[in-house]
Amino acid sequence: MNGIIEIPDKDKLYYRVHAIYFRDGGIMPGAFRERVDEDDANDYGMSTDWAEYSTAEETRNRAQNPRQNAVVSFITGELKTLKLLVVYYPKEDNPAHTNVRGINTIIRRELIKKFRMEIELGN
Amino acid sequence: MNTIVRTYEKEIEENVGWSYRQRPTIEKMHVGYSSWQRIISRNPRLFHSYIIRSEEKTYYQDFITGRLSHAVISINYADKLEDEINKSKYILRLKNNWDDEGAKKYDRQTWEKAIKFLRDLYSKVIERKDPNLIPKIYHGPDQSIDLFWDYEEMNLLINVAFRGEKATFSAENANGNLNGEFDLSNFNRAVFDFLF
Repeated sequence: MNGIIEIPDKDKLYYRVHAIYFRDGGIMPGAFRERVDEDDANDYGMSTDWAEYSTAEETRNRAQNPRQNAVVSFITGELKTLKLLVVYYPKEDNPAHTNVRGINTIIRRELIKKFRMEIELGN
Repeated sequence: MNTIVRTYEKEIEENVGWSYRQRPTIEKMHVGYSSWQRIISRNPRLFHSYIIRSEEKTYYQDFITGRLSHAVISINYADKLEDEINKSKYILRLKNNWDDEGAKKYDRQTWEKAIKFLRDLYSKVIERKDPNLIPKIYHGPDQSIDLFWDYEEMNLLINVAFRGEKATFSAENANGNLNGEFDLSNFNRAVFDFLF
């Protein structure tokens, strides 16, 4: 099932941002990064949640310390415009899990301008 | 003269040697950036300030007469750069698992490499073009360091890699967009002349 389902351009993807990425009154570009799951080499990218299967609150609650996290969202179509690959990759414990691949210095500078705040830090 | 004004008077005299009683219409003085920011932050009602390139123009409101006068103050922006460098030392205090998701701590050598490059870029290019353009210094992905200029007139992100001498950059200013990579110890000044 991995990668088969195409996420519609209009749909939101939620992304958790840890408190440590907030400085000088905003989010720093380093917040947007790819990671690899050490137990599954196919599970890599910026880990987001498809809003079809998750609320912003649920995304935050998946964190180890939810109160230490904010949640932002991206519109899928905007990420595709940046030539990013959006791969729906559901997991047993998270049916919304979606990887965004292709994050680099150019993209990070763009993402800083494109996110929308869904849950502020501390709320 | 009320207590608040007396406090301001004392602080101004101590920090910039400008006596409130002189009630100047125009003053010229030199002051370190940190001192000036401290004065402004402590006296938001007294000062209104904004930065015009390398010169900070500050309007001065006389509390008693309501007369408006102003001072023109030269700022030492090298202090501002040092402030940002000192602030960035938080990166060196991040311990393993600083993001609760297993992130590794940062290597001091990577930070030093980024700071050395920044000082070099500042003295060779920025100071000459626009000394007020100081970046924020943040922790980046995979133990790298980000230098981030987020200004209305220009937006530039430089990423200094954990290992090696390479850095990548992405920029946007009035002249357009420019992306690429370069060698930290041998960067092309023309590229940065274009950006700043």
